[in-house]
Amino acid sequence: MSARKIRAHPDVVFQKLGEESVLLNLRTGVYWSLNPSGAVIWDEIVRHGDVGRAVATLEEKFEGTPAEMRATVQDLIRELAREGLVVEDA
Amino acid sequence: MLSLLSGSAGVPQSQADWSAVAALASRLWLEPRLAARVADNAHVPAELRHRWLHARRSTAARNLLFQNEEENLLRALQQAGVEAIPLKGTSLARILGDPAVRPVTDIDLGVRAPDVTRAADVLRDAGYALSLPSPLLGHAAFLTGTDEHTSEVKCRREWAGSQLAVELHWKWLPLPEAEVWDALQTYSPSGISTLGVEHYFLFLCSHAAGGSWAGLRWLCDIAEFLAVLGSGMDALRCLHLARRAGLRRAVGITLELIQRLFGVRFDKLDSLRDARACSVAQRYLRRPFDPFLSGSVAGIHRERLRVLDGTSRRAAYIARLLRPTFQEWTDSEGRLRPATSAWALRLTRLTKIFLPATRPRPAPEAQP
Repeated sequence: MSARKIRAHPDVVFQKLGEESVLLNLRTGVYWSLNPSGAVIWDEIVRHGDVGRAVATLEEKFEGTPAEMRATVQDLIRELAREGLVVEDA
Repeated sequence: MLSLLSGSAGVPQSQADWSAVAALASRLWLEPRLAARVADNAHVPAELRHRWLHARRSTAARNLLFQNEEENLLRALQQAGVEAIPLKGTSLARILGDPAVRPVTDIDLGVRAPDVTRAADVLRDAGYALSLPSPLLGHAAFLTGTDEHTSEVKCRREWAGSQLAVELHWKWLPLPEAEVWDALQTYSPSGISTLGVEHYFLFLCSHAAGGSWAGLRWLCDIAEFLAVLGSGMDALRCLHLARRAGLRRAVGITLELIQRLFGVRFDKLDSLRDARACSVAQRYLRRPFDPFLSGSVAGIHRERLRVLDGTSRRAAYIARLLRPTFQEWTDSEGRLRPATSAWALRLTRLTKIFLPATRPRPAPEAQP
């Protein structure tokens, strides 16, 4: 999983709002709000595009087993990809 | 409501009519601002805090759209050789340090008067439909007849089933154009370049006064502007500019209002809170939540005249009022009318605005 590279879709803009993040798809006008752990994952994706790094950062900042952290990151990325908010680099 | 906005704990939950507070917050567009204020305030019902937090998120999302579009337009204008600055809107929210605090409904851009036509072309190329026809934007008699309240072209375009609105302005303070542009300032950490801090403060006061201080959120903006940027403001320069712009009274009333409403005091300009300013402010304080104090066009003009400094300023305002506006300069096809027709139509319209409608007398009852 650590080899996967993800990036925000070019149509998506975002804003940190305290510990949360708000994402907006400029093409559709639909927006999403990410909770604090989601915001951490998004931040890592935008800055580094590295899924493995997102898991490691989540482990540093939140309590849980590595397996739970990986599952959280994978679930969110799957959802973000389904909504067209992120794209996976080939 | 006022105690929540000023950041104090507020009245105990049992003593407040929270449904009334919720309705007021929604009507006055204060929900995102209140969300930031009451996040940890146990006096406010959790359900209401949750609702305001939701409003804050949706405001953040909507502001993202406007911010993105504003940046695109500023870039396009720059590429066309037109210098433009953002006014109010999301840029002010970012300068104040909270991008979600102000619900934004449009993008306000300022350009120099000679650049209006070119700026309008850029907006048209970006897909916007303009409220004013092109010939009018290059018509010197129209441009010089506008003031800080009337210098605007409204532009709209479709976006995701909704509409994006931009207002292009070429006057926003009654001061020489070059002087305002020479004093532009870049604010950190946002990196936004816009009006110098003293000009910006006067602009916000003038804008609030132009709308008869009817928007409580405008006063919140000014209170926060002073809290964030007041320490860096040159008070003597501000006083000097306020005098030259004829805004001393407007500033004094504004300062009195924000002190009385939110407890925000700005000692550096305390001399402007004179007896007259306090007396006018008192009228507004009786109805701080009423968004339409004046209620009519004539009423708005009377209110503006009331708060201008001195007879000469008031005479200048009336003289400008007599000049044709875009409504008189153009016909329904967007063609320019001859000056004589425009002036005649203006006088007719002013008569309708200011003279009370004469009611027909009741017919005398038939005598037996």
